[in-house]
This record gives sequence, structure tokens and C-alpha cells, in this order.
Amino acid sequence: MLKTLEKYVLCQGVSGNENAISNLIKDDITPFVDEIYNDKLGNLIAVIKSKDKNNNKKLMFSAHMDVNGLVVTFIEDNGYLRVSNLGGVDLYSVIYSVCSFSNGTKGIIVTNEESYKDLKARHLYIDIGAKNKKEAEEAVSVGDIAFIDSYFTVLKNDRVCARGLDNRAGCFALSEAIKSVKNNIYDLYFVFSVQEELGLRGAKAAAGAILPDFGIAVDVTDTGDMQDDNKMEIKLGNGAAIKILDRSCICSPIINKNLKRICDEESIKYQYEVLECGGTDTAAMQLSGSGAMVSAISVPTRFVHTGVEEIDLSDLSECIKLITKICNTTLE
Amino acid sequence: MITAERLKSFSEIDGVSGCEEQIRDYIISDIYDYADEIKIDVMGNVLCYKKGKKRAPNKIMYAAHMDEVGFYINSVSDDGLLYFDTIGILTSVILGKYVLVGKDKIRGVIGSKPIHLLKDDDRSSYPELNTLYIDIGAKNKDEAIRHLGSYAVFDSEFANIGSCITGKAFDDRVGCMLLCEMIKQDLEYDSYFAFTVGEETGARGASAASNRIKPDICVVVEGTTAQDVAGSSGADVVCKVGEGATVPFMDGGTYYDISLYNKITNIARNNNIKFQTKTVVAGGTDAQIIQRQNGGIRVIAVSMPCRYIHSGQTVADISDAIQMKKLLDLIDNNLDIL
Repeated sequence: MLKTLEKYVLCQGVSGNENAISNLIKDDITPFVDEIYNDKLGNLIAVIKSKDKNNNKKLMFSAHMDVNGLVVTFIEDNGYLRVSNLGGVDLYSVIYSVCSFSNGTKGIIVTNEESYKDLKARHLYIDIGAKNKKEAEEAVSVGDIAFIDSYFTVLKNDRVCARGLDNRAGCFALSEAIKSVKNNIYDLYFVFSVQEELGLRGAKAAAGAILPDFGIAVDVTDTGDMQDDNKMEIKLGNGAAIKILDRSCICSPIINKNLKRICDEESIKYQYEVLECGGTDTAAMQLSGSGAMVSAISVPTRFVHTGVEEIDLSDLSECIKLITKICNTTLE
Repeated sequence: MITAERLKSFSEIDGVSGCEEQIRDYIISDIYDYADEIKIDVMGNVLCYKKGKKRAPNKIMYAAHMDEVGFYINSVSDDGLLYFDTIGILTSVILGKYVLVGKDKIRGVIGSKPIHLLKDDDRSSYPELNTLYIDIGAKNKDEAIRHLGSYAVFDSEFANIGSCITGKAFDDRVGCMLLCEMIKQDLEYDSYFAFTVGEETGARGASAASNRIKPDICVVVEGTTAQDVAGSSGADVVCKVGEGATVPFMDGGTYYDISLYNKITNIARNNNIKFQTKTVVAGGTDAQIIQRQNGGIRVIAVSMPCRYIHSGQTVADISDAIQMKKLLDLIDNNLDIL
């Protein structure tokens, strides 16, 4: 499990540039699905039809493949690169970090001290070691993506940390569940979405085409067990998080009642998530077409959007179990 | 022909978001004998189809918005002053400007509290909207009340200044002009064109237009902000007037289709088209809505750099529009490889 999770996490795939991670996931799950394709925006969509001929309902899962990153907007005369953020990059967590470009060029993300108090993307510079603009232009172009380097580290008690667990942990959970799907009641649409970090853009397009009756997002959520004052019930090790609401969406109580029932019946450890900030693909599915009943299963994660996002592998397992069981139960 | 005169004609017609009838009529009369199909949808978008020499391998839609930034009169005071809301305009650029109110084009001046009556902290560059009004010289409410709910536009003058042109509504009458030019010529491939409403209020017409046409590819033809002015340098410039067609890879609303961006910038490079990209991720176009319609649409933008873009006197260079037209023609010719 750990090796595959590591591959998912370290694979390149910043918002708008998800080819590599899409191909990785496609290779992983193709043998287990009826149909698999990429839509025009690059969303990876896998379908498992229901064997029940009387069924006419669709259940869509959405896990975003993209991670946030930086894009080069300008090259200074002295060879430094100026950038903008793709998605909610925690700027304080990227300064003095190493980044990579897809052609192998490496860079370091730096800033000047005056900017610390109110750090914005326009205060960042990438130093690729170039002496001047001409040298820099030989290695990178405006529009190139800088991937912030990620390191997969194993901690005690089955905990791991890495940049990119948001949301490669969610993608991994969905992929693993797909491999165990049997006797699904509804037509299942597994969407590995693009550009979620830019505002749920891929999921909006995909949900608009699929028009699901039910939608379950698989993402990560914050925890309340860190040093700071974050008042949340979620703790690492307390199981799969069932979403009550976040900033973008209030989940369906009917779906959540069924999720609780599944957890109780199958002895799956779960906890409830109330997130005061942040949005997920859940909202995109809820508002598609004439609406869908939605909820989300989240992997509890500390330090989201930093270089050391931390999860508990037992929570990840519970998420996989829950997603698998959802596929062969009713949600009404 | 892409000329300053043509852009003048398009830009001088009134068409504030929500009241696009006059510019819509002008566009339809311009292309009437050339388009194979013209429809007006329920939002007021003009949707056109033009047959090309060949059947298109990809369904392509070119889009430009008809609406311009402007004002709406939301109340009339007892002393006949017209208070207003703005659409897409900052209050810092309107004090003392001439405007024309409604279809009758009643002239007025935007006024506010006299400067010697302002407290120190009121003297900012962004006056409060509710302290501004349009003075049409009415003596009392009775003389002015009929303007309640009317739109108003900048009473701007179109002029040649140096190598540039100035006027109102270049955003996005330049796009409208370019689309009309394409419809009036022989195209290589069958193409669709959408003249949209309500872009300045959040791309409101674009979802209806793109769901009706359901293209595979959409090229948004727009005006974009150029900050090549005093006080800006380097990365803050965004793009420059006179430096050619602007093809952004990303703006505040859209991450454009990477393969379209790469292919189209390559085509531009190989054909000596003057082009540039945006150095700041800012602004938005109809593409932000179009991209997510109908299961996803591949989008790209081709834009004209405009200084002072949402003011009454934008400054631009017609040579940029000429480069844009050359690029659009190349996109048409190369549709099979996009």
C-alpha cells in the first residue's frame, strides 16, 4: 500500500497540467472498470455500470488529482523568475524550498525580508542559478509550472507525511476502492478531477456532463489535534471523516444517515467533519443540473497545503473500506 | 478591414450590460448578408454559423462580448441629481466626466461633494459611490425622474493620438469587430460565432451561448488590461500596447487549455505574428464560464492590450488588432491540428 501511495504523492500534476497523474491512475485502475476516458479538460472518468437492469441512477465520486503550485509569469533581467500561485499555495511553507520544472531544471523559491509580514505571490522569486535573463530563458519560459519538491516520510504509529497528500491520499483511496467494487446498485462514475485547487473547475464540467443523482467527494480535511487553536473534532486515528459541511456545501443528511448506517454495520471507524473554511468538489456535484444529493469522505490531514501534510494510514484504510461499501448499498 | 474607423463605429454605439439592443442590431446588420445562420437566444446573445470551405474536425466557436461598462440610474434626488450604480467601473476614474443618459442621450456631468467640504480621510482616490451623482442640469426631481432605471455611458471622444487611438468600449468592441470581419470573409472551416451579453456582470450570456452551440474549442476575442504606464515596470506591466496580440496562458478566471496555448503561440511564432502573453494573473473573460459547460470546452483567448481599460478613454494601438486578425485567420486555417 505504502509504495503505491508514495507513487501517487510524488507524481507531478499541478492544476491545469494533470497528464502525468492521470496516466498513473489510468494504468492503475483500467483493469477494474467497464470504461475509462479523459474528457476535454483532462478529468479522468472511469465507469462501472450497474448489473441491475432496473437501475437508472448515477452515483458520482470525485477526487481531485491536482496539487497546487506556482507558474512563471515573468523573467527578470537578473535571471530571477517571478511567479503566480496556482491554487491555495501556503506561501510561507514554500519559501526556501526546492522546486522542479518538467524539463529537469531545479530552482529555489526565495523572497526578501520586508515581505514576510504580508507575503504575496508577487513577493516570491525563483532562483535557478541563472546569471541573467538570457541564461534563464534557455532553461524556462513564461507559463512553465514549478512543482514544489515533495518528500515522502514515514513517521511512528503508521503516520506518513508529504506535500501532496491533499489530494493524492483521496485519489489513492478512491483507486483502491475501485479495485474491490462488486454488485454495485447504481451506475458508478469515478471522476479524478482537474483544477479543483482553482475553484472546482474540472468537477463542475464533469458533473455538468454526468448529471449524477448522488455525489460523494473524496478529499482531505483539517484536524483539531495540532498545536494551534483550531477547534475541530477531527483527530488523526479516529477514522474516516464524514462531511457535515464546509464553506462550499452543506451535505445531504439523508446520505450521511446512510453513511453512518454503513459504518455501524461494517464496523468502520468514522468521525464527523465540520469545516469552517475551504471548498471541495462536493459543491460542484450538488449544484450540477437540477441538483444532486451529496456528501464527502475525507482523510483527516494535519498541516494541509504545507510540505509536511500528515495522515494516519489507519484513517486511510477506513476511508477505502467505506467507499467500497457505499458502492453496493442504497443511499436513499 | 481592420481600421481605426471601423473600431470607432463599433465603439460609439451604446450597449451597457443588460441593454445591448443597439449594438446587437448594429452587428446583425453588419453580418446579415454573410452569415449562413443568425439566431438570437433568450439571453440576447447573437449566435451565428458560417460555412467554410471544409467541414471542421473540431467544432469551433469564436466569442466576443457586446456589452460595455457603464452606469445605471438607481435614484433621483429632490434637487434633480441622478444617483447611480456602476457596472465594471471604479469610482476613481469618473469624477468630472461627461456621460450620456439613456437612449435620448441626455448629457450630464458626474459630480460629487466639493473638495473643500471633504474631511481629510474622505479625500482618497476612491470616492464613495453614494456621494457621486450625474448632474443633467435639472432644476428638480420632476425634471429628472424619467431617467430612473436608465443606463448611462461615457460621453467619450474617439481620437487618434500619436500612434495610438483612444475611445470607449474597446473592451470588447474590438472583439465584435474582429468576429464580424471573420464572418464576412471566406473561412477555411465551418465556424460558429457568439456575440455575448452581460460579460461585465460575470459572463452571464456565455453559459447560454456555449450550451446552445456546444463547441469543442472556443476562442475568446477580448480586450485586456495593459499597465505599460508610469509607475509600472517589469512583471507588473501585464502586457504592452503596440506589442501585438496578447495570448494569456492564465488569468484570474481561467487556466487556458495548455495544448491550445502552445500550438497557437507556435503558429504565431512561425508566421511572424507579433504576440505577447500576460505577466500578471489578473482579469477574467467569458472563458471562465465557457470552459466548464457541456462537459468541458477547450478555451483560449486572443486579446488587445488596452490602457485604462474600464475608463471612458481607453488607449490602444490598432496595429495590435491587425495582428490579432492575422492570428485568428491562422487559427481558422490550422483548425485541423488544434
